[in-house]
Amino acid sequence: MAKPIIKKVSPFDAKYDYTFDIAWTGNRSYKNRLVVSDNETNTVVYDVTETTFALKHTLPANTLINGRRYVAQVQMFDMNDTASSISDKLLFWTFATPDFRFTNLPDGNIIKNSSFNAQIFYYSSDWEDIQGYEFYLYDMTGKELLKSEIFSDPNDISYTYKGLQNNTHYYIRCVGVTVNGLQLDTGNVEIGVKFENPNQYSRIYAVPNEKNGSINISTNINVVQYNGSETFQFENGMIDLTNQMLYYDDGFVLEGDFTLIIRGKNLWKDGVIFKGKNADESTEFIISSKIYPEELLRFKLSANNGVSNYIIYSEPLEFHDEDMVTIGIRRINNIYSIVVFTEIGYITENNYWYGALRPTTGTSDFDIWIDTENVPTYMVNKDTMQVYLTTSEPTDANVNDLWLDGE
Amino acid sequence: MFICGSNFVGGSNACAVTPTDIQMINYIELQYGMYDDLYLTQDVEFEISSTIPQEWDFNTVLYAKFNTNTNAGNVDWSLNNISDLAIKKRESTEFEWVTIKTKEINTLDDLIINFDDHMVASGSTYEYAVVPVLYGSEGVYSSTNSSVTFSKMFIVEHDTIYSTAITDGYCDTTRNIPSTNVELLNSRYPIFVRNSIANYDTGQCTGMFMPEENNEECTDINFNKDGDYIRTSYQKGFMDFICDGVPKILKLPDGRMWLIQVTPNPTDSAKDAYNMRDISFSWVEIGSVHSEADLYYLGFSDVEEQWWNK
Repeated sequence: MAKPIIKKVSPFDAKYDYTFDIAWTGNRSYKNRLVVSDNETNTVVYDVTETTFALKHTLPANTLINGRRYVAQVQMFDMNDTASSISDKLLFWTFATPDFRFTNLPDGNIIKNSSFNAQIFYYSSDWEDIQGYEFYLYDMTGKELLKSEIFSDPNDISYTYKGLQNNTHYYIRCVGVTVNGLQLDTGNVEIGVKFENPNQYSRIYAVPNEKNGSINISTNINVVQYNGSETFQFENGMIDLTNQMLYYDDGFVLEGDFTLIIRGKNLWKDGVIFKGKNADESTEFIISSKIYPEELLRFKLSANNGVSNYIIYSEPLEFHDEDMVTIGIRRINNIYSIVVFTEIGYITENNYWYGALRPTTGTSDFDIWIDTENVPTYMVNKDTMQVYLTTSEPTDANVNDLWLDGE
Repeated sequence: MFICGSNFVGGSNACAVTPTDIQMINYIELQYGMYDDLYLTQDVEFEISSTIPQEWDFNTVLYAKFNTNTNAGNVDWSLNNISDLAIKKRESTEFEWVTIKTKEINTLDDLIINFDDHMVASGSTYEYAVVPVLYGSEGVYSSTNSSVTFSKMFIVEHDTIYSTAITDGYCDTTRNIPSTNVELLNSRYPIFVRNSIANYDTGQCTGMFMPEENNEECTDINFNKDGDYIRTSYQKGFMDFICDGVPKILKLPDGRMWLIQVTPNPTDSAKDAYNMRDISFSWVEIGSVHSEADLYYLGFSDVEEQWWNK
């Protein structure tokens, strides 16, 4: 009868199950027997016969001890319980799985530069040296972007990933092998890249380059300007587009997810207030408003989707022209959402300050300072003062009330 | 709705509209209202409220505050009110700025400036500023700080850089102040006469210059006979470089830096073995690294006199 052959056994961790593969060309196997002996003492530590058609035999976890050499043999039995010759001996090692992992990943695995020096911690309790290792970089779909050369320095297991893109997620991975053939793998570890200049967002960046002893200077200037010929009126920090249209057609390109916030007044009307599109395409998204018979207004976002219009509405709102309205549009994976906030009774004037010195503390948005000689600076709360717009001086005014003389 | 016992379009998202695919948005319009802010960002994580983030960050696409203009970029000016852009630098311990780069601005592409500043000493901190200029009138400075530390000796001539980490570490110098001691017949002590304002360094540096690989380490081939041709070609190239008569920047890891001219005669001598060779060269300081005029006239800067900060 033929003799079975045990296929190559790589070193493995005895704390886990291990399956021996058998090559066999004789009668159909009904049972197989695995015998494992300690190579140094020749003591049989495992001798079990399994009833299975499969040409495999699984050695249970913790049958063997890590850090030792063993010898394995197999024997096959057919349906009539006829035994084959026992196979040749196959020598193999057991080793504890070394600790092999990335050791210097930052908090949340967020990389703040376009390059990252990944370092590996390697420790083998059985004192196995690492023979070689290589690093991989994958995108989020698992596509391999980079594979390093094979390194062998056991004292500095590291690699510098370069050219990482901002706002992008990757998988990094390191695989290696020990001198005895034990496979090492960190698995795929997800990292996110979000650039951060050490001096925060800036209009100019100065990045040191130790390699050539220089500092790389780069500007970060975004100019987005109105390129038309109309002039606009500005009042209280707001632009009056009641009867005009403002457009931007240069200096920016928007792709993917975004958040749009429009904040303004005088919006209690029917009409289109915002459009966004690619100048070369016909598809666009539009924000418009409509007042319904029940005296409620909804903002509407509509966008072409090639089939019909994609339309969503805000909640019904009730406000006045002088109230401030904030419209928020968010697009994630081409799905839009809309949210609106209204500030009823919004005013653009706040408290008044009188005095010779401009107040430096305690002020709020839209406070007004009136330069008054020889007076220590003090505040008048807007809720306690009266403003008179009359041609003659009021007779019932109190201290700190304001009279604006006009025709 | 139930049909044949099964519900039909009963879920809240059962009839969700087909998502759109409007990409590469590069045109927007705003009209029919009075507007306080227009803000567009690629950040979709923050909670939308009536309070708009006040500062630009890496995700901001445009932000128009409409205070007194329609500018929606990360600077409060447009191409209409800028003629040039200036890059200035000063050491953190200094007050005076030095203009290191200027560029005439006509289009948005002109705003992209990217270059390496080699005139930096190891360990010093510098402040860099970008300044918009309208026909001589400067706008607001936007600045940042940086410093670089390196462990090599660098010799730089425009875009050509030679360096070595293998030096004797000394680079001894002498400060030269030409003067004469005039001895008189009737005086015990001489008269010290200094008829010149000359006050400059001279020195001598030594280094082992070798080809390096991408990992910045000397290749083993430098020390093998097989690498003799590569090594000697590199070292001859360095000799030609320091003897070309063009002013250079000499920088050391300890922070010293000079504008120099190499003086006669550099030597190439073996130490311990024929292929372990030291190149020694003498030099004289020919200008100040802090002087815009010296940098311009010696060819290290193309910033003309009109931009100098006198």
